[in-house]
Amino acid sequence: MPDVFNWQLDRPMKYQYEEARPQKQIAWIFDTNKCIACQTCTIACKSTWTSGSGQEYMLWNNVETKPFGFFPTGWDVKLLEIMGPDAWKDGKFAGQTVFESAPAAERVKGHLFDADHWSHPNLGEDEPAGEAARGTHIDKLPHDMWFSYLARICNHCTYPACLAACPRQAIYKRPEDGIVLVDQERCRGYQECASACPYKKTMYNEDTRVTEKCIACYPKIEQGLQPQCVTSCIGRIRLAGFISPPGKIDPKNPIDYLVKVKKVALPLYPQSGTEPNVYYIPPVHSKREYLRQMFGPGVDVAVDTYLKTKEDPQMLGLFMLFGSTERIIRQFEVKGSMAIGYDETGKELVSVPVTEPSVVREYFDRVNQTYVHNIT
Amino acid sequence: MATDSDGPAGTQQSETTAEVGRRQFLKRAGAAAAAGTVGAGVIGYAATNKRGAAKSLVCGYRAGDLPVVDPASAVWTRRSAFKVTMLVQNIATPHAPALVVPTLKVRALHNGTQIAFHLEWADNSKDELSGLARFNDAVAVQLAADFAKEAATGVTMGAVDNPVHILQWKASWQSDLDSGQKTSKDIWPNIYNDVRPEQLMPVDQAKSWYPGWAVGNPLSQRDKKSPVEEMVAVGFGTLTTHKEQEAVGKGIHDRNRWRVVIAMPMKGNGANKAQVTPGQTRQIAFAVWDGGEDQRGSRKQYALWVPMEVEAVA
Ligand code: SF4
Ligand code: SF4
Repeated sequence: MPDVFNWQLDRPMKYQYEEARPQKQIAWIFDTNKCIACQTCTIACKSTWTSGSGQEYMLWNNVETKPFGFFPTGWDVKLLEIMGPDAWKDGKFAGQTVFESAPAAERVKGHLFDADHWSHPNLGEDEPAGEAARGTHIDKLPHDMWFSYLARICNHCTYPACLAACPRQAIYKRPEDGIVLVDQERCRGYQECASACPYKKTMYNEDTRVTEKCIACYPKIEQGLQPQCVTSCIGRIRLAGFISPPGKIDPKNPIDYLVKVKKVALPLYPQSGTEPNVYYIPPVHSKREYLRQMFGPGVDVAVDTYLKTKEDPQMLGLFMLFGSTERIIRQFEVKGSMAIGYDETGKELVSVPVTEPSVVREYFDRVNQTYVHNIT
Repeated sequence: MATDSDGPAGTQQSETTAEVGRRQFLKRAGAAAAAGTVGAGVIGYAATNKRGAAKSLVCGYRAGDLPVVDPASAVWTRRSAFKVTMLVQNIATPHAPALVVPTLKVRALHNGTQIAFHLEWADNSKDELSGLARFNDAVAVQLAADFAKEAATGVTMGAVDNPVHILQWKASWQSDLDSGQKTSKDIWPNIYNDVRPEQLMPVDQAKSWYPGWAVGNPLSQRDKKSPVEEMVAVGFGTLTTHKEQEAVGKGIHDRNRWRVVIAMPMKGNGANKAQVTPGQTRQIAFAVWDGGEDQRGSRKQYALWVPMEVEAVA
């Protein structure tokens, strides 16, 4: 197996094919702190792409509650079981990826979930990590009792395990934008990808007998638009764009800024070795050990940085640009009180105030001669 | 799980375990490379002959219609079977963890225009549905597409200059033909579909809700005429459905075994189809999948090339 470089592990690793980074790599930022688990993203995706028969169970986008929610059931627990205990040393991954630990007969160390595991998408929803005793107050960070929401899509990995596992090369990564697709004509339904994907994001269609997966709304990407799950997000937690290759940083690129400059957004279970391209801002109130397990050794810096957002007009401004336009923001800047997003030609797409105007209403409404209640 | 009460046949070669099979294969491949010969097919054939144990598979001539859709026909059962030792495919990843179908019994007949193979193996579970983490039983025969290049054609699904013609029978397709196209509703009888697209609109429009079907993936099509798929390959991972589908066949499962007939024209239409002429001796290879053991694709049993004498027309 060739050696490739995985920047998230800070070391070379074995992979089925030679390193071949796309000209542009699609990437997302998800701010878990703002997600309200309304599932609008899930429904936006479902109604756009998977409303057919054989696709009923497919949630290319799902939102699960951590620590007790997962779709498919137990996917992350099983992944951690496969991967063994965390093995980070000074920011470098010292353990084995799913490629490196593959038994001789396999390309990837994986496992195949049966239908039972795909039958409970809302298992554990809103369940906290402990039991609340009478009189419990949650008054410090991180909370003693916690839960958080994890929105999940295919990570359009730089080193996709799904692609490595397919003996027919029916899965490909587009050189123009890094989107990973299952060729619907070539797939023969072997489900090797479903077994290999650490994030369990390829799904077999029992009516067409071939496998399907998130397509990153590529018809929208091709027009410079962000995917459905991003543009429909009620919480404005999401941003889609392109990440620069390792060793390159463009601080005006919103994805680079959050991932590489501020290091506030982290990959999910990077130890898998696939170099996933959805970057999460960790939920600051959740247990640190749990977050380190999920997002690796960068968690402490990410949480501390995020908690200081207020003092950082650049970052605050960028957060305000989330959900502000359907178009992909390639560059941004914060000028005075305004945050501005630009397209690839430098044309302004949108500008938003860094601090939204707020009005404090009088407690007593003189016109209507009544008291007003604050309901938010 | 497959069992075979007859025990290992040993007619083709004596080793039966996967490990031995692989080591032997590699040893032979090494020896062949040193001797300057090419192609795994040659290796298998030569080794078999050296042992002197192999009798050729005889494809008998029989005038008139062959019982191509009746695997239970006395025409087949009265004929003695040639036993082929199967090996677990462990040359290309991923492999099946273990050999579960050690022997395949093969009978062959032709009538001058059509050639038919009767394939029988022990399998006490009938796996005919393909679903989530669920796979169907199957069997395949393989011939070099070009007889002239046969000696150089690898048993490992051919190579770029040496394509192979593969005919695969699938239990899932047989089930579709026998009792209607299977859907998720057959796999999960209690599944709730509010309405299927094809109930709301003409099939041509409904197809766009089924991506594989819409783009013409042969596995997604619903208008099957045969349980046998004709394909061409030029090495592992290259299996491609042939444009001209002419093969027919039938499989039945009873008494803990499959009996399957695969038949094709001796002079098939289209490029890269094996043309079989009476009087020839040709190499033929086989593969078997036990779906109940999660076998599919490269997770299979395969056989080295077996010489097949095609009887002259009497
Ligand atoms: S998340 Fe899974 S399905 Fe998506 S690219 Fe990575 S390995 Fe493939
Ligand atoms: S739409 Fe946004 S806020 Fe709602 S569940 Fe999805 S990611 Fe969370």
